Amino acid sequence: MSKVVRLPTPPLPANDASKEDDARLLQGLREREPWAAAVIVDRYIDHVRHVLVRVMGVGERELDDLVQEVFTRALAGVHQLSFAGALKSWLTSIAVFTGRETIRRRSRWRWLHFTADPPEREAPHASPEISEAAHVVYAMLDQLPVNERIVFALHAIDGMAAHEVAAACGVSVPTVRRRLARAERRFYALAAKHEALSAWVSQSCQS
Amino acid sequence: MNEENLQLHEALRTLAADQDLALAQMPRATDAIAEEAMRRAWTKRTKHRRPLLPYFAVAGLAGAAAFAVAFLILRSGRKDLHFEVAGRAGQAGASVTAVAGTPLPLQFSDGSKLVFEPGAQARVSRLTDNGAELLLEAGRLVADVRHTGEAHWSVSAGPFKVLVTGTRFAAEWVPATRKLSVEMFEGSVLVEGPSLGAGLALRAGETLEVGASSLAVVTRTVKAKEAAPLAPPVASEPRPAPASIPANPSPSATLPSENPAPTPETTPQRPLSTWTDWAESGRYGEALKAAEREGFARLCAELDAEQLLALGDAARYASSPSRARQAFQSLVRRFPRDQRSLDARFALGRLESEVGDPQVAARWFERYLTTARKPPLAEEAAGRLVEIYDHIGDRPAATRAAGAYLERHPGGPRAGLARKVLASQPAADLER
Repeated sequence: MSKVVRLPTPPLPANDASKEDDARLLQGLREREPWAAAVIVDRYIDHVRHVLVRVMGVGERELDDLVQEVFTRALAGVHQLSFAGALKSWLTSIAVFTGRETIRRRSRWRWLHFTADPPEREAPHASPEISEAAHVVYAMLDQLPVNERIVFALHAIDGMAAHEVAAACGVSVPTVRRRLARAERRFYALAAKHEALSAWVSQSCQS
Repeated sequence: MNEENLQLHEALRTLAADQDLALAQMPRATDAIAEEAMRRAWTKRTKHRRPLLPYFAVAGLAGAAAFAVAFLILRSGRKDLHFEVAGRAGQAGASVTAVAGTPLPLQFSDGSKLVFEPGAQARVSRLTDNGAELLLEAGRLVADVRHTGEAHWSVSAGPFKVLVTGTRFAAEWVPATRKLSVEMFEGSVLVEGPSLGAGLALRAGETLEVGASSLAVVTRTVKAKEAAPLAPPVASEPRPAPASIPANPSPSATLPSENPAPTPETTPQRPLSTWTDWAESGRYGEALKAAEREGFARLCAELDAEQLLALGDAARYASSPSRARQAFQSLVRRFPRDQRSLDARFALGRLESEVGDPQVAARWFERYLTTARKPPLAEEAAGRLVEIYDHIGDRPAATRAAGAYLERHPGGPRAGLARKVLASQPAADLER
């Protein structure tokens, strides 16, 4: 004689999960529903990758790990998010935070090993000719303090407005402006010393 | 901002556009990411944070000192577990595949034993001083984990995790349907997963069936002595008793309506004589000796496909690669169209890997993959090809194998390695 016990697991949504709005998605995530995890990744993976690549210029190998880390943190901390409309900017801030941690870890690694080269730095590029220039740009960004580097990357490379950068970094707009001004001074000074970068800049602007 | 800096800004935006193009070409393994994120984020036990900061200053210093002393004392006398696969030493990270015919046993140094049923694939992810972490990729295992009071084992399968302290149970993961079943024989386990809330405790006699996105069903079986005689089973199909772990069969593991297990009084002890008797009892060395007495070459010429596969496995487990090779090659030669012949090709690839001949191993895995349309261990064989070619430094072959792997198994356990292989190839090689 046996007894069947059905656990109180909520049923799956009847309609196509990919069309669920963010409010229902947030509810699903709070209730730890597998469909919600699949939807948030599918809906925001491009955005998360986009932010990480801007900030770090990482290669595909490292990018996969970072994307995984961002979504893991998002799922673990979803109870902290109260407004579904902020889902995208919340994920942006997690991506920025994850990127910042990784940059700091790299810096420690470099310091411990007394070397100028971090373990892996190959950014994804559609055009091979830009690869070298990107390498130089991100090598220069490595020389900036991490908070200034992030602000600069999001504003100067990605084109985010100051208030968007502020939301992503969790700081005020005036703080973003101060950091940006300092970052630009440092970056331009470094760029002026780099002949290969100057040549690429001239070429880009002509084309 | 001067003219030069404006130009630099424009160039940086060009860089961003180029990054966007590259990102658009990258594969989106969303299912694998979601699954792993769920496993990491939702299978952790919830910890309630309390405002303990005021206590940290005092307790932290005292605790750290005590911990350091205790750690040094305890660590000096403790060692991580180790295990043997059919009599041969295994190591953490090892991949385990049980091919058709014979179950594959793993014997751990603390007395625990795992038996992988034919077709099962798993990986021993980590070994600690009081347990192990396993990743069950496919198939069924029967576990007999020794209860030591400190044992801490886990079996992960898809987004689920079975936490074990000491018990006997069977777990089966079917990747195609993403369903997990856990059958308890003794003790209890805690199963964590996306649809199981904070975790579901299972006790002896219970069976859990749960899918990654479906309702969980627990079937509870009343012990034989408590049930009415000949009561029909309800809601659960009878499963064969776990013959893979012969010791201490649990009365609660079988349904009351099934044929009762034979008692020692009713089952006469038959002496083990033939190689099949020894092999079935897991004593492969004796099995090989018996096969030699019966005439190994004659057996290879006369046995049917099923027995040849079992003979090859027995020889392999008895650390005789030459005899194992002989049996598997006989099977391939004599029964080229038999399903077991396919298993033998895989077994030969694995055997040659183990004896240190990666080129020959790769040829067998290639033959395994090309002989049938969808061989059952395709992912494992394709993954091993990537590992082998990468290991021996055959870059063109490694690139080809990695590309083929990612095309067919983008979310597979070796997808990371395949991507690393592809990423490490110079652009000229990839274009070729």
